[in-house]
Amino acid sequence: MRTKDLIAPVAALLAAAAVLFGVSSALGETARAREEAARTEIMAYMLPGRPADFTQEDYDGEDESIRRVFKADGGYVIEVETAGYAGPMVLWVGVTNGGEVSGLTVRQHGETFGLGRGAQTDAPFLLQFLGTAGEAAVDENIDALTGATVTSKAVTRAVNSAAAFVTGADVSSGATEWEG
Amino acid sequence: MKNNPLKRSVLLAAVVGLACLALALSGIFAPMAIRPRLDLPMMLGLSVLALTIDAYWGPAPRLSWSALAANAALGGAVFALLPWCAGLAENTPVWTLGLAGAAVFGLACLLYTAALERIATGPKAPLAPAGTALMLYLAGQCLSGIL
Repeated sequence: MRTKDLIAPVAALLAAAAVLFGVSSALGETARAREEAARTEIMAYMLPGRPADFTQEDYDGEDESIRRVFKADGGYVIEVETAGYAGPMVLWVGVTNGGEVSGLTVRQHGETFGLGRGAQTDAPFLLQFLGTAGEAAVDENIDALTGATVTSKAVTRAVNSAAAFVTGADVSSGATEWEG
Repeated sequence: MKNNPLKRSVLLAAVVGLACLALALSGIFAPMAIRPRLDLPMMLGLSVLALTIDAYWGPAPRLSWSALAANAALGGAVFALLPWCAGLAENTPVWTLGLAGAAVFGLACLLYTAALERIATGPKAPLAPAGTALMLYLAGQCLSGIL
């Protein structure tokens, strides 16, 4: 290998980095604005009355799984990170002011195709959590996804963490521990 | 260029650059789409894609240990620098991406070259590069699941 062999890969790397940095700098603000608008639209569906305004609140409680808290008229949407089967999962959970879960959606995950990925799309599984208030438990009032017990327990922990935030019981829920 | 032992790193920069560009643009046109994370299987998938393009491009020059080390270092630089420039490395330190990228691309180069030489039934074995890529990606996914 000769030193001049390095010229082509280093030039390609720097050229790609320059293009990406340019795109990111030029369009970053637009991306953030569109993401915020889309986030508000989705969150509105997760609370009763479809509130249009959400304000982000600081969270200084003990539950390390709670990442962000958004408050609206009818309740809260809480972003929770939990340990799934194949890495961290991020969920948004809508909880009314009374502590009842009114909506949830999986926003990030790396779960297995055909098994844990159902946590994102399996409506019967997700609907079970609506109306719970921190007492959801797999094999008790929640039927796990077939072949994805770990993922189901992860979602359950996240939902319980979010409900506990509203009811004031948000001590560490173990949502960051694998299979709790 | 064709005889450059670091041609694979050029292709990796192109593949990772295009992937990062697609992810950055999806943040604008589909802001709420669930985008894949830059984790080990993703790094391996992009590495194997670059190696497969390289294999179909033409016979690669024999890989020496020094070329392998240089490819691994460049792979680390690609996986650290490009996602950071695209604003996609918010939750992972850049040095972690660099170390992981160097390890993944270095190992992928070594294993892909060794496996391809054994799988190819002759100088013209059109399915060998794609078959090697599939096998290596599936093995990597299994290993990542165990880790």
